[in-house]
Amino acid sequence: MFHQAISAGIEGIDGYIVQVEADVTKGVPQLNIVGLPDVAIRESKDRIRSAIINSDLHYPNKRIVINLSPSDIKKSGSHYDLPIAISILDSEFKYDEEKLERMALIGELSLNGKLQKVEGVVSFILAVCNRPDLKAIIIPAENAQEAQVVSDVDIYIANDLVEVSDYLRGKCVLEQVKKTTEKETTKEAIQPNFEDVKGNLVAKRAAEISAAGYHNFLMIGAPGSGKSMIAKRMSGIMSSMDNEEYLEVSKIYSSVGKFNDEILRRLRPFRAPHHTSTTKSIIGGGNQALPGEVVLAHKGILFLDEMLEFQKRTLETLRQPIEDKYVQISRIKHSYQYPSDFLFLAATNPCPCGNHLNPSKDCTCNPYQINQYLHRASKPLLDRFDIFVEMLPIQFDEFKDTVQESSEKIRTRVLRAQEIQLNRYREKNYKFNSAIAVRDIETFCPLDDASEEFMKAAFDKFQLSLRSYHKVLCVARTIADLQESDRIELQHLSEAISFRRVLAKYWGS
Amino acid sequence: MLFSLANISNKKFSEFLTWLDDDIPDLNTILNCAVFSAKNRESIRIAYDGMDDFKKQLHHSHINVCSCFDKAYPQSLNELLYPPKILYYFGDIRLLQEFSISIIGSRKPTQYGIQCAYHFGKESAVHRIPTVSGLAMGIDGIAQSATVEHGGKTVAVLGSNLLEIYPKSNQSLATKIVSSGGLILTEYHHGNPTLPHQFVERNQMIAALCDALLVVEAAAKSGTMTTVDFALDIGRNIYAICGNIFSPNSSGTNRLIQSGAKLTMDLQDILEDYDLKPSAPIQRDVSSLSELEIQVLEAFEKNAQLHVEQIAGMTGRGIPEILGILNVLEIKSYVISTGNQLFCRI
Repeated sequence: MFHQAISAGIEGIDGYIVQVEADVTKGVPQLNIVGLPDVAIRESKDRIRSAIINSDLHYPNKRIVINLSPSDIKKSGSHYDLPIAISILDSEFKYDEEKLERMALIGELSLNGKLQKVEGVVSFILAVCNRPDLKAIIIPAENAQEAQVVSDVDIYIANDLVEVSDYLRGKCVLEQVKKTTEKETTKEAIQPNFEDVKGNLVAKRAAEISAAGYHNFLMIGAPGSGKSMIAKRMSGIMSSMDNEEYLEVSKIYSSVGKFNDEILRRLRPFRAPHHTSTTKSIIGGGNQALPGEVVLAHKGILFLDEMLEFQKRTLETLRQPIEDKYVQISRIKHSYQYPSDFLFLAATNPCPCGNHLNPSKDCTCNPYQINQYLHRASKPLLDRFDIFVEMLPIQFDEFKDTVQESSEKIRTRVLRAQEIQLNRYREKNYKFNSAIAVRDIETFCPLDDASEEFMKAAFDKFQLSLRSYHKVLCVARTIADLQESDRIELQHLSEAISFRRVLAKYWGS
Repeated sequence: MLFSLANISNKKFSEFLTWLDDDIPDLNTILNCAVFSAKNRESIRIAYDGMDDFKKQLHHSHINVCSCFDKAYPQSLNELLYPPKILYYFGDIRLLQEFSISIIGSRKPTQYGIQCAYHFGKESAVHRIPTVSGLAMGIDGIAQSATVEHGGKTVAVLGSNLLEIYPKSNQSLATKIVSSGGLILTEYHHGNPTLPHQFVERNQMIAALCDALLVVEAAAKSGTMTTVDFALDIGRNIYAICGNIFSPNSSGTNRLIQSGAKLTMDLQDILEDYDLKPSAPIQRDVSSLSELEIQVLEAFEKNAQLHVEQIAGMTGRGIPEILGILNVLEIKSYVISTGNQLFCRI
């Protein structure tokens, strides 16, 4: 007899529908799985048998062949346990066909029949959404949290095999995942908060501009100057993810089993890989062509602390994902394109000992060492930063007792500036000032004669490269947006230039 | 030029000159001179054959030449034990006849050093006194760029050759020096690799070419201090700027002051020793500045150096505004950034 259940598989981060077919015939009792299963699926034989028997259900002592179709794609993961078990039990219970045909099943079984948490639930649900003939999906109860992300299909949660079996027999109802279509506004205070950062006003200002216009941002300064403190507070002043971003990010995190509470609260991901990370862990790769940190930072922040301590090769591979906003990973069996649209944030010391140009401490490095250290980052990589800030571990009495501005206040300004940008670029294929196309720059960033003259004088005086010109205009545009000014004034331009001078100072023009 | 091309040392050349009679010798007389070793003779012969080509190359690269027999050759160099036999230069060599001050110091200056170097470089420009320095990283380069920036003339003495300026980062400054009427000179011809000892010899030249030697910042044991030793040997006046006693970069200068160098706080301190009158300082016209700009400048009145945050606190304005205004003021040459968001009034 032929029985069928529906499940889903995952390729990269995208899901696809898999038919699980079971043929239960007379013969020597055995269970064979075909359709390019991996080891985890092969092992499911024993799990399924034990789970069915321990759930006090009847395991047919017959010859069983399971086929996972389409059978030309390699399948992996333990979530096929449930559909396989159900397709076998179908021979026994004759489930409601109507229900079974319109419902995908996902779940790993433990030996006592309980359903276990699996990876990639969001991708599976999205695959179901894309198929008009499918109406619902059953997932393990432990995955309920991430399932809230999608609202287009009915999502049922089950605790064990018996519940699913009873439901399909019409003997009970399953609990549905509560739908949260509305944006959950974060009422609670932003943590960590900019309130706790004393001084460093220039760096804070730079962080605000960076968040508002999605400008990549590099901090350079002595140890203990608060670089990491600023970085950790950046995601707090950014807008929360919109529905589309939320779904994309959930899909990525769910597919690697790292879905968490912060994503559910629509906070942007903040990824800070250590500087010993390998190129593969940053970009992605391995046998399965898995996504790396740049993908996990999608729609969020990738923060490289001690940037110049990273391997040069690793740093340089970042150039392509930053520019293209996606990363293509090809291995023998797989080739996937992952999205990687992130805000690139980095911090570094100015020299190996960290005290180069620090007025209060002496640097013990010689000029050659400093030069070597700084040039671990190539010019093309540095060109991908729009904002540079020098930081010093000093505080001034003037600001000792003043109350620092809170993240909430900064966030309000950032959101307002982003609204202006979204409105301005609604007909373009980019959203923010950092991405203004070169051909559009004159349209969106016009300068009056005085500003033009000022730019010329400044570039001459501060020895800025022509390449910086475009970047300065983009940053000036964001500054103008933060002040809700239609035009870029000389004042905005001048401020933007001060964030560019550091590059010329350390790396020459 | 022949001897320069043949890489004959200044010492050998001096010996040769004492041996030589007044009239100009031909190749055979030179080759018969007992001063030269067999190796020297060989290289002189090769150099002699290559002379025409070399002259063409010089002409092609617009490099000027001044040998020790020429009138333009600065007499001050003859005070050295072994004066350079030839000078290759870009720019105006007459500058070497004028009264000049040499501003030298550490290649890795502190904020204070940068500030001082800039100040004295600028002051010399204002008083139309040429500065002499080594176009090196740090104090040398900063002082010279300050002079050029304020319309002054400066002499850069190189330890490398004219076509391979070291450090490369000062290449653009070198171009500016020549175009502003300054001078870049060296005793080394192009085509030879630059060797470390050349920089010591360069220091000797700096010491000889200037009338007063101002040391901005120097560690007790440093290249700058060798220049000071050379200058003392030929009787130049040494001026030094005092610094923080805990800063290793000021240990050399403080020690110099202790042993008799004149503590210098102003260019006037140097000029008075030479009975030179300072030209009238230019009164800054602040009427063209905006209210905020004046307010920011006033903040500098009691402090030589201020941080952006301090200025914001003192003027009660926001950081964005202050950042913008400081760049404007810097372009107008009222303040200068010394890095790390610190600014000085100039």
